Amino acid sequence: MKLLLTFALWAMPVAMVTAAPFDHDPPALCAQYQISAGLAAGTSITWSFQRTKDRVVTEALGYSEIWTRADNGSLSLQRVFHADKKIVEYSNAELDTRRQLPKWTEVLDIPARIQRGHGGSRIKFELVAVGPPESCPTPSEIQLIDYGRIDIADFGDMEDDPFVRKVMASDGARHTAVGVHVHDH
Amino acid sequence: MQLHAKTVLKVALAAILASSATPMVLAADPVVKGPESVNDWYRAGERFVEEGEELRRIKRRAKNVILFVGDGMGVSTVTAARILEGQLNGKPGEENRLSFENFPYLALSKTYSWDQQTSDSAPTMTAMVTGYKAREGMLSVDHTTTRFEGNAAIIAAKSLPTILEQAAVAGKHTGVVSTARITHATPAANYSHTAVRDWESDKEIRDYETANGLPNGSLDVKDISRQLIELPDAVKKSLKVVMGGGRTYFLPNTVKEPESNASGRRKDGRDLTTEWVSTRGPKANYVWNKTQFDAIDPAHTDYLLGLFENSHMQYEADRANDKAGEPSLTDMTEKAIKLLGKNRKGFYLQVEAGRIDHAHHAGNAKRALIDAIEFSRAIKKAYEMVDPEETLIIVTADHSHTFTIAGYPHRGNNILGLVHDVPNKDGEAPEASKDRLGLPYTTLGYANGPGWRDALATGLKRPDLTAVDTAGLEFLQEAAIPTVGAETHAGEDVAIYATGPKAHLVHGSMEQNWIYHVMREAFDF
Repeated sequence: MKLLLTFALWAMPVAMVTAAPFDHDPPALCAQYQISAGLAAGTSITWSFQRTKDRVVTEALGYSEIWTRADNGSLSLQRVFHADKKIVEYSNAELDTRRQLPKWTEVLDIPARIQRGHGGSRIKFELVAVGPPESCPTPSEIQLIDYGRIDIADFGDMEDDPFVRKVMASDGARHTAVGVHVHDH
Repeated sequence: MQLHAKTVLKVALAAILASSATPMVLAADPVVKGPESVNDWYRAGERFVEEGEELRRIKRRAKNVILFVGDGMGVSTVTAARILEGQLNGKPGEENRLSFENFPYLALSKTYSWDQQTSDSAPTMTAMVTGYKAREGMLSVDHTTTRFEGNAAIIAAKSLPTILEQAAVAGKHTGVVSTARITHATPAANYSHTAVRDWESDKEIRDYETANGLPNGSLDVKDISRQLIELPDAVKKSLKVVMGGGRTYFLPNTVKEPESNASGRRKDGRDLTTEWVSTRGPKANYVWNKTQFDAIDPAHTDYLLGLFENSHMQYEADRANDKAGEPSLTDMTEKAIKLLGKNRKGFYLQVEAGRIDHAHHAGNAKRALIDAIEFSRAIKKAYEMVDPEETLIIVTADHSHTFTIAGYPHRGNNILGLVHDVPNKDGEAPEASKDRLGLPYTTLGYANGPGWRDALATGLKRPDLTAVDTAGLEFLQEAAIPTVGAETHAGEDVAIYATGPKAHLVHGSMEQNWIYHVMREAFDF
């Protein structure tokens, strides 16, 4: 289940492609979603979405995504795997190379309801609360300094690394199901 | 009158040729054709033989050696890059030559390592710069080295001298340039010795200790960045130019690096960029952006460290969009030669196009090919700057990729496009070739990797690429096998091109480690 959820979270920018673009900076906020279906009975998971001017942080189940916009408009992504204390880093070019470069407005968007699915399962995200950005449980810089950081460009040369193999196996399902085909049509 | 038999035959042949020269129905001109006269090629073939007969071996020793390595630049990459460069110049492309394809000597390099049929960049570069085949993931240590060996004394005992270190001892200037992190396998094999190519900063070593229950600091080997700063005296004196990416590996985790605001990685608190400057005299410089790079005057600089990205440098296709600006591989090569060329005893320079490999791993052919074209420009610049009578230039790859050029595209067909065959009838326009499903396909593809399309998820056996911009920068060429992660290296031979003193020693089928032996012979070490 965790693998599936990770896949769903990573696929979020793809899900937001149809969202209306902003014509100015949207307000900073923290949005909390409750995952209401696709889990075992009685299980509840919160997914948080923190948005500030040049940074969006999502977090759930020990997995965070940190999107950052630089002065020149280029985007970068850090995927944080807290249990492994590892961060996988994507530059703007690496996102584009992997066909995962969203528009910044898509990263900023917070739809009221998201549904993602894979292999017959479906996961629903229901917006349950909106507050100031500080109310989101985002990882601190001090916490992340101790994490290992891997450039996604190095994955091809690190296939013996257990963590890299795990992430690649997880992403393999996501990539071939969503990324390539959707963009071709 | 009785005709001689030979005369009869001649008359008959003339009649046949005359009839065939006057067709019954006038055919339309072929729509697809090369712009040249076929006589041009014929004459070029004659010139090639004449020039080959006149080819003069330069038997003297080399004052300088430049080793260019295109990481992952297999023969198919060279071919496709050659065509793309030609097409970008408005030509059909196939007739084009990358700069190094004009070098007179060529060989094939067998890239297997001591323990790998298909190798990674660590043992392959170790082979090229030490003369010994080595183990997967290890840099310039011998094949008896244990995996994850963390004992500094053992690593010292098993270290193999590199051509850069030998050049340093001989009093030559040395330099290393790459578009990858300068601590990445290919550049690092020149100056460092380690059992683990990923130990690029002390953090990676400390993390290994933690993950394996070892006391903090129990492994006393130096990380690769630190090795670059704390070189043996002769190498420290000799290594004048180091340029590439990888800033965060040189900075402590208490500071933010200036371009991306990312934290440094080092846990030992050391800022190795400032140490480079403080330990190499008054004419030492550290630069991290294009403006600073441009301001460096080689005449007034003795030592130059350039780290232009927090990790790898940009792909050439994306370089113009870099926030702080960064030099091209050609820019760095030119600057390096100007700095190294000040030594009358000569120099050794190793230049790597490190990102061809990364783009291929991502299944993104266009970025790989644009980087290969830039690599060719850098080689051209180097060749123009040195005396070819005294400088051995070797161009090769460490390994190949599963990159293919397939189908029967017509002359001048967009190398990044769909395959269009030569039409069956002259006068007709070429149409997209179709597979058994009736779908078009691209000329370029991969045997495995991210470009695989999931038939189960899409309901299609193959995607319909009819309306897809396959020449777009972000297009991923199709792949046959969905490997777990990235597209992989490939095991076939790669080419070696050479010019200059002792270049004729590059010939035939070579073991990859023999490249070192050619360089050593050229230098007379």
